[in-house]
Amino acid sequence: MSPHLAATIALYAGFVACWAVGAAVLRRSPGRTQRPALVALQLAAALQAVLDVAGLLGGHRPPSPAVHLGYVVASVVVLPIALSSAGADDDDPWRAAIVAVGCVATAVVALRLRVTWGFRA
Amino acid sequence: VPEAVRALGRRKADEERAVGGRAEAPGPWDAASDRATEAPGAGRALAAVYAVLALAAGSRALVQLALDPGRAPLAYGLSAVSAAIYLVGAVALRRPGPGPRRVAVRVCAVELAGVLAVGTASVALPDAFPDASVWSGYGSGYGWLPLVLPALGLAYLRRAGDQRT
Repeated sequence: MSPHLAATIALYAGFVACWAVGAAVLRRSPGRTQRPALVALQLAAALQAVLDVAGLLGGHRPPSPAVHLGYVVASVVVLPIALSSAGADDDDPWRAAIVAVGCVATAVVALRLRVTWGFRA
Repeated sequence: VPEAVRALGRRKADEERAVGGRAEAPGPWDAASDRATEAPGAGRALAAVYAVLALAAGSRALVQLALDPGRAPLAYGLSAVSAAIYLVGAVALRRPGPGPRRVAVRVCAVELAGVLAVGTASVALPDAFPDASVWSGYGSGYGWLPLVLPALGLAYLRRAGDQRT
């Protein structure tokens, strides 16, 4: 677990969410331009989960290990679950709103990961 | 000659309908639109929020029930019930057609009643909730999303129904 990576993921997810909200408000389709950004976000979340599990195997004990493990699993699946509603149409402006929902959820989970890990800023 | 004129008029009307495409186009929740595989965009956006809440509530209930089910069985059970309701809502809102729409309306109504009832009970009878459920405090632990979401869902479904008629 890297608290700094988790914070970076939260900030990045917030940025992509703002981008998506802007596209949704302006009723503009993000088209395919957001796809690389979302892939990067998902890869970062997966890397974070791997580092987290490595830390747990290395001996770190969070205050509530079960709760923390729940957040680790959620951090990897929350974006695909939210985007499963997005559909295949890249030109649909509502797709941007769905992307925003997924990114906000990813940011919240990343911040919760830091807390449940026991990190104190 | 009058029959030829009437036939010409019918053909012209048919052509106008074909070009305009409005009179014959089925609404998003019509039975004819069952052929489509996706609900309208707003419905899918709501479905995405429902799916995230189902994940959050389900994970919370799973962990709580696995670790210490006897600590707050009412709250943990309510979290599990709310997760199931959010899951059904996510599926129903994603699908077009009158059947899923009816399910979605019922889900939103049950959810709204649940949030109001559990929220009021958690405030009036705090001893019954030694640990919070998703709907405790009217969903304050989740940014009051559980209170706002069913109202948004019902408004959207009503509007979608009005557009159909």
